[in-house]
Amino acid sequence: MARHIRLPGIVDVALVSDSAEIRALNDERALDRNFVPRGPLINRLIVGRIRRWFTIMDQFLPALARRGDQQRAERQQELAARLDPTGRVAHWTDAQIAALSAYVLGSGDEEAAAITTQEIIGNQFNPGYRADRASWRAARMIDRFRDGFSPIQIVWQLTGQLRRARKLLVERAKDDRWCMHGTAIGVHGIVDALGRMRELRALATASSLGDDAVLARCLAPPKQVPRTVEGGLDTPYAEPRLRDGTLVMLQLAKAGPQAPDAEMIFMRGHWNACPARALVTGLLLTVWRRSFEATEAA
Amino acid sequence: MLGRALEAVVAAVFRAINRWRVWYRLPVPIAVINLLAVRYDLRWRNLFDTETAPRDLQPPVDFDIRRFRTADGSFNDLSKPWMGMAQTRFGRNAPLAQTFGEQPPDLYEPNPRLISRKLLARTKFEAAESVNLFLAGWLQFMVHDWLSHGINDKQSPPMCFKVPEGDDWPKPEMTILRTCPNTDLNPRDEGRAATFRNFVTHWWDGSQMYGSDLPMQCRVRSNPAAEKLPDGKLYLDETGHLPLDPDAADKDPLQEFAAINGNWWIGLSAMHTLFAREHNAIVDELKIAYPDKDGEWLFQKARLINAALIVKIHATEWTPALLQCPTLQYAMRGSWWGALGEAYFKAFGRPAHNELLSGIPGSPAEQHAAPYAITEEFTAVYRLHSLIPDDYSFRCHRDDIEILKCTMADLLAGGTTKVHRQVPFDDVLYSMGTMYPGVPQLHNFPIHLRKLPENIDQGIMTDLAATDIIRDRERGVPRYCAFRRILRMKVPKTFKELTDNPVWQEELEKIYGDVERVDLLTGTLAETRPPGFAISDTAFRIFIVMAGRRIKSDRFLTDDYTPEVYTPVGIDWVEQNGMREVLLRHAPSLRPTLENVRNSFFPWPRSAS
Repeated sequence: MARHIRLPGIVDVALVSDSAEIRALNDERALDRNFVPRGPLINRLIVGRIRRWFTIMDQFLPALARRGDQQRAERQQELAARLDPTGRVAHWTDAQIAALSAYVLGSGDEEAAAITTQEIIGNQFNPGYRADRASWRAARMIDRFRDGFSPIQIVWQLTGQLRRARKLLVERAKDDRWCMHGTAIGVHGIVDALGRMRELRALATASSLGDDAVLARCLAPPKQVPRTVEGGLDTPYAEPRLRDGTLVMLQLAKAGPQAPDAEMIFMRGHWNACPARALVTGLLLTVWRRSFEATEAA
Repeated sequence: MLGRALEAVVAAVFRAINRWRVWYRLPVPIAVINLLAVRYDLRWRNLFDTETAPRDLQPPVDFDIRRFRTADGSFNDLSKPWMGMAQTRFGRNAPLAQTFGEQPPDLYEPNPRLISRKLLARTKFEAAESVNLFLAGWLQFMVHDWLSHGINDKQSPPMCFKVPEGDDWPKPEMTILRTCPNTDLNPRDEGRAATFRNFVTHWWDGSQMYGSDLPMQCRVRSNPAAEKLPDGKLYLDETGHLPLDPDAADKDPLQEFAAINGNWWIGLSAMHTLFAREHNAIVDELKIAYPDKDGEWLFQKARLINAALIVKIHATEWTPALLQCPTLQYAMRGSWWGALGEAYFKAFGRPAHNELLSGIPGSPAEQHAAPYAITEEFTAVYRLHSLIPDDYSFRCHRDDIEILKCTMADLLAGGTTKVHRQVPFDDVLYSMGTMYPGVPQLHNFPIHLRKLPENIDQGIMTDLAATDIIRDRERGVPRYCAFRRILRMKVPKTFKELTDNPVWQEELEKIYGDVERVDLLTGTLAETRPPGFAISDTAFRIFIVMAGRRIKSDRFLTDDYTPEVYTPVGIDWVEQNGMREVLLRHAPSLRPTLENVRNSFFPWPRSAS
């Protein structure tokens, strides 16, 4: 059952952390990503924040675009096919994989691995994409800002740091919303997975892990994704009735341990499935295998 | 909501305290609260559901699901009728991402046969002299109620590894069949760890006696002519023993029949016989109180009552015998009678529906973080084969004179019937009550269970110790250190931190090299145990969560543990009886022996010669 926090005029948010409920609600047509200012104060602040920081030329980043957005749906399909590493196109270089496998084996720091990863992601959309310390730090700031509220965010906004970070990433992405999403937001899931892979690789039992086990232990869903209620919704998962404009937070990270599968991590099989699933899993498994080849060769 | 918040705060406080002091080193009242805090943590952080597409069920026709247990365990939880029923998946205590089965070569490393020989094999029988052999028989009786992985997989290639040099195993390689896989998969299972099905009901419902489906339930109620007994009784032969199994007539004509009669030995036979007789005694009592009720009603009510009595005996007698420390004595009895205790309960009844004050029975059912299911980790920590002795002496309860001396091999399967034909049932019980089980520790795995004849003609033997080791690896039960990490316990960094025994430290290091590679079974058998405990603290953590859960999740032991569902006679039967009463009802000649026995699972006094 969702935790429904409702104070008239102040807030109307439902938090859902059960995997079955998330699956069911995600497919509810009355739940969408229609971020227009409405409802109580905090709802308006959250929506305002999304509108200000997660749009490019008044267009929402793809993970925040509406269910019925035709362009979103078409690009999603096109990307899912193009980003599949089993195809003929090379998605990364040997040097990039070597660098990431070295990181997994314990050498180097997270920042270097993160920059390499960001560049791999950026290259999928723009072959000339170059990542560096500035672009990675900008992405990290955007991600922290997205993740929740904290006082430091006020400082970032007042000093213009957040605006500059966003501007840098938008410029590097050449105004491509999908590239921006991948290099500013999606990249963190891969970098975190590589960090977990590094810990996993250090275990005495690392070689006993099959591909599925490696992916299950490295990948994790994003913390939460927002939805808006359109026209009200009666559901057994929330009480009282969800009204028009209620924000529903699907807390994927909390539900993840109960359902560590592609459905929860990539929303596989749903309208909002992540088109980069094959790319991400392919990249991680390539790095994992290379880490063993590297030690065998040594 | 407020209660849960308070529990969360207390749990957090004890998490901090336990970083520098383990629960059993705290004063008893604080240790009891500590255990409650640990249980809270486990209930919310170590229960994982593996079902991805549960079945949609229709209630059975002409059967009152509100007042009787269904044969297959369905409709116990009315909102999720599939929960706990036979053929559903085992749950997990470890996060699902950490439950993938190990792959070769690590699956075979270190060599399970080497571990069996060098670390597990019994060198000298170490007896647990604070308990009697009923402890072992009872445990297996319960395990058969809770879980079964079914018949092993004969289709897939078996697990196979070389036998170390110098081993006396009859073949150069050891092959072990894989666990029967769960083939009922759906797209949501893709990328997830393999799951296994429980072939019996997960509930504590006496399914080892009553079966987990209707045909089997019908069979245990029928005579050899396949006629269902009209009075609701279980069929026993004219001597009061279980009938012989017609299905086993070709292979072992003396094998006794019970709903679950695998791995049969005298301890299991004694428990089945005793509680089949108890069922029939309950039927007799119900018949007197409710003369207008038919055989079906009598059977179903007697089953409900008999199962609840078994639960009570386990919680208030068996477990306190296994875990003999003041904290556990109080905590386990409290799980049935509550903090106010048995005396208060018997004088004033249950004062509230609160689990802490009045015990779990009668409190509201709750599933916590996942729908109820027996877990693979629970299966793993219940591998206590070391309890089984190799040598047995059956003696007369009147004068303690030996009637029969034999080994474990003589008591297996049909061998049990041979014993029953030579030794009166009361003397079988007396002998079990005066014999000791083994201590669950390294170098105490029964000799006979390491060379079980599976098919002697083809030279097929089973080393149960090696099988135990590889089963955990196959089913993705984390190894010892990872397991403790998952339970938020202190993890040993060296073999010295794992056990106080310097010889074992050396032996473990020689086999494993790295403490992180120690198998769960080996680790729990080597671990220095809390004072008075027959099992390790690691295994105990799973007991804490699962022991209470088997009761707390079950509607018939919580919301519907009422006179309306059980009948007033039924509730009274459960509350007024225990193991001692059951023994005396069916073996009255044991009265002098049991006169001063405080707990039937403690060693009984030997009769004077």
